[in-house]
Amino acid sequence: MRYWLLSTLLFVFSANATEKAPLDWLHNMSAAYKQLNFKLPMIHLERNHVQSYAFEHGVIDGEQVVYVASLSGPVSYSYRVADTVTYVEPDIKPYSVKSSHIIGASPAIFVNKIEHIERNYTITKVGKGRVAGRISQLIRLKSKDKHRFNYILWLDMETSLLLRYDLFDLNNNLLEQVQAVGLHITSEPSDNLMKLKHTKLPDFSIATSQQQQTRWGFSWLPSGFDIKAVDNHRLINTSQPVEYLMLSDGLSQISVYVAKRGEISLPEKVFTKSGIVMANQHLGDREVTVVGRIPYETANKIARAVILKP
Amino acid sequence: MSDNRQTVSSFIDGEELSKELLDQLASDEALQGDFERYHLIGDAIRDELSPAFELDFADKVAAAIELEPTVIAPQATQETTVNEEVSKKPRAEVIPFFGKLGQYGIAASVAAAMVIGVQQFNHEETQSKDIPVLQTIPTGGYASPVSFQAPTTNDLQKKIEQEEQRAQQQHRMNAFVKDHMLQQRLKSQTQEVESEKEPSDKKQ
Repeated sequence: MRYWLLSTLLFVFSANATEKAPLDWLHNMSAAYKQLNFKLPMIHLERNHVQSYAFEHGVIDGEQVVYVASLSGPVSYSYRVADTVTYVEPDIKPYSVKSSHIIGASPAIFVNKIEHIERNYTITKVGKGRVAGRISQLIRLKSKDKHRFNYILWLDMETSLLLRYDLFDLNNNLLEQVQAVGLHITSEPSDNLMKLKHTKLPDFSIATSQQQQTRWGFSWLPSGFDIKAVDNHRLINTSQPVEYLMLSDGLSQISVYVAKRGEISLPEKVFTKSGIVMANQHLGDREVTVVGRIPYETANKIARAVILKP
Repeated sequence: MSDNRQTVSSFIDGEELSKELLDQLASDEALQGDFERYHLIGDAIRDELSPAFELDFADKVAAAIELEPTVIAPQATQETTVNEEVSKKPRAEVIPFFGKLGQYGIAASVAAAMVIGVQQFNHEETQSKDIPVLQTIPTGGYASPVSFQAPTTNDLQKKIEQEEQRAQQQHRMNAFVKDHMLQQRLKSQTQEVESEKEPSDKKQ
């Protein structure tokens, strides 16, 4: 309620003031994203990985239609019509998931996340920059603690759409960058989106499993993170059965696995180039594995905090 | 050369660009360097440098592309059989997946995409380090002994065992990372449901 009042007040003030508050920028970004028909070619950078994408968004009969396609390498794309996301990838049968956003590089990753952002980050304006041939307002999201990484968002001065974001680790090393190389706003949704809207969904879809009970809990969690999902499944490739818990602060997801200890234990500390870390700890005859794009110390602390619920 | 520089400089200042210069720019690396620097100077003067800008970004992109390994589609022997089983089921818009096997079938197929992502770490890593795919700080027992003695069969045996262990570890670590990526897709709705309850979203 307090937040609501506060944001309403900010909205009222911003109508008069020439300078928008950082939070207003985020609200405007969310609103603009949902309303506009636009095409946005973009590149996604990770440490030694570059991929280019075409991104399209449109509103057809009051429903959002979103399309993201990789432009190099094997053909792969995903699209969302209202709350159904379809992933089409090489050598795989296309499948759909009920979800209101596509996972992956996208100018939409902060849309609808303002509450989470506000809770976990300090939001400041940090000057202006130019991207995709347009002037942008830079907004910095600095974590209030040491348990998540920091972002800089580039929002188009004219439309407030997100044109670029940079993800930095705690030592200010760039982990990921998504950058638009153009922005084309149209009055009508593209033909491609119109076609997708009326495409028959793939033959099979995944209904996310019902929330199950778990016997595992945590004696500590980093602030802002909650348990979002639990289930038992088997791992890809190794088909090892695991008890699974997903943690989320709204922006970052952390996977926690509890499995029987194997003959060969995994290293306590594992890094990947994209900033994903893995922490492994033993808990009796179980092995706890924590995976996520978070500081290693945090992952390790979570791994040590796993407890059997009484 | 200096003529070209002049032209590049004036182009950046907003003048017309001839087709010849464009061709030259595309083939001449030194000229490209000028082009980049002039732009940078311009940006610096206008105070538009990004906080995370890198001087040799274009080179890095080019290098990264060169390093890109040929992507070989991962084998999916076991996975395909599971998939076929799934596809034989009656068709529907959304099939609830109560069977674990069903979810695993899809999981395995999604993994193919993830393998590519993870394998890309592999390439550079193998050149500089012994441990592929993931930079690891092992808990112990990885260092191979440096010695002038010819390795005995026993040593060789040990080495082979170590290699096997390492490969197995690698396999398991990759499985966790891939599963993490997959679960984010499968469980994304759960997060959305939570966030839709937030007051700030209702307001939008």
